[in-house]
Amino acid sequence: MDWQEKTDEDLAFLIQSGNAQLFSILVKRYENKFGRYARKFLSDKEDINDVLQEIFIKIYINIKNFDTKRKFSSWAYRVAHNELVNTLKKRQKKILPIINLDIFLPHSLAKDEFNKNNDRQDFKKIADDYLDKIETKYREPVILYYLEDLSYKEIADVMQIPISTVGIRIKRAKEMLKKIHANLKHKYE
Amino acid sequence: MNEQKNQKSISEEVLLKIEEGNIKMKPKIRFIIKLSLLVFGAVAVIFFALFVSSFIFFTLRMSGILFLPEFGFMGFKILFFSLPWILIFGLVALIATSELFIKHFSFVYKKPILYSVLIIVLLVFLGGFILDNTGFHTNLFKMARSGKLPMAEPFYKEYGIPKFNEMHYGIVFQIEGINFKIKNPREEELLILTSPKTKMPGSEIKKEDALIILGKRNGNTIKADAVGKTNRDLNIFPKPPPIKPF
Repeated sequence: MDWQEKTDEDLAFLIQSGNAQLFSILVKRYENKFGRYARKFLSDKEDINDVLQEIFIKIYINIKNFDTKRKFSSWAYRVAHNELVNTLKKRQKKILPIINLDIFLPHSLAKDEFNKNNDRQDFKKIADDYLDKIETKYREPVILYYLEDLSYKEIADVMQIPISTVGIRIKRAKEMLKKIHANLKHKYE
Repeated sequence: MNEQKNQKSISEEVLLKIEEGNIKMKPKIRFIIKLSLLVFGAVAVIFFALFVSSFIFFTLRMSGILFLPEFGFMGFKILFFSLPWILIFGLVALIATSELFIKHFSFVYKKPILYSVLIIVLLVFLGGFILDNTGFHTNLFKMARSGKLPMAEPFYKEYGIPKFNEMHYGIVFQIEGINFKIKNPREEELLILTSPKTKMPGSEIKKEDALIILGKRNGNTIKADAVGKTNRDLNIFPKPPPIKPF
């Protein structure tokens, strides 16, 4: 049987049933994605590898908690998000705010105006270049939306925040990134 | 190339740990228990908040302080300082705790926190009001007073009918000239002394009238500064049986 053709959810179901060796396929499918995701928050290569290893161990340990009727990637990114948040807390040694005002109050959902593929590609480049210059809470939804191609709903599940907050954070992040890009462009011209 | 080698080592290392049995999947029952505890915790906290909320309504009703605004600014001032603030802060803490429990559910975290907080507040307040109107606390209070509820007795004694030195609520059972006697929810008989300076209600005071009196209490006597008629709370003061004709 060609296991590679199986969906993530099918593989997760088989792993839950005891085919632990199939976990290697899931690790291979996600190690690049999670590696890219982790590199946007951590700079030390050893830290990144440790976090990646810990993410996959957590996924394996908790895989029976995954509902195979749902999307595996959202669940796996949630585990990765939690691991990264914990690592950042330890590294930065500062208390992250428990409640952000933007998750408390309702917002009208900010629709992404980057519908044209070219614009989206251009913004991906800007996002990739300047992401480290914006706050983590704005950085993460941009990474998940533009670089990891998750939907607003999936990002809401990963970060456990309201869908409208995802929209507003992406909108604000885009404004910040565009401003940084314009300032730097102006400086070097 | 180097990165590829590194990535390979990550998957290999994880798989090696699995094969060696260093890491094991947690059984499904563990997650079911965890989820059940979360649901139970949320429901328990919300029910407790409902109980506290209904108890606050009961306390306010029993003390009669809800009628204070009828005395205007002075009434509002006394009302503010007479509110059971410990219970109110406790209720706020319970609502915040319930939010911590329910925020793990996707139908909650996908919407702004304000919505779930408002729904809980509404549920707790409306539920509390309805529960109090069923006479639930009045019955518990009566049981506690007759010694049938030893566990709850100190609680109801402490908060059931708060004693205010400047505000009194009761039913008139005797009129003596310009003075009269009332029976309060504690079933104490209080003599109310009035003077020309006392602010009196618009209509004449009769037996079985429910009154709010503002004035300092000295023993079982109150020198009234203001007297106001109010609604008779039938949960506290049931209507007397009709007098049978001879």
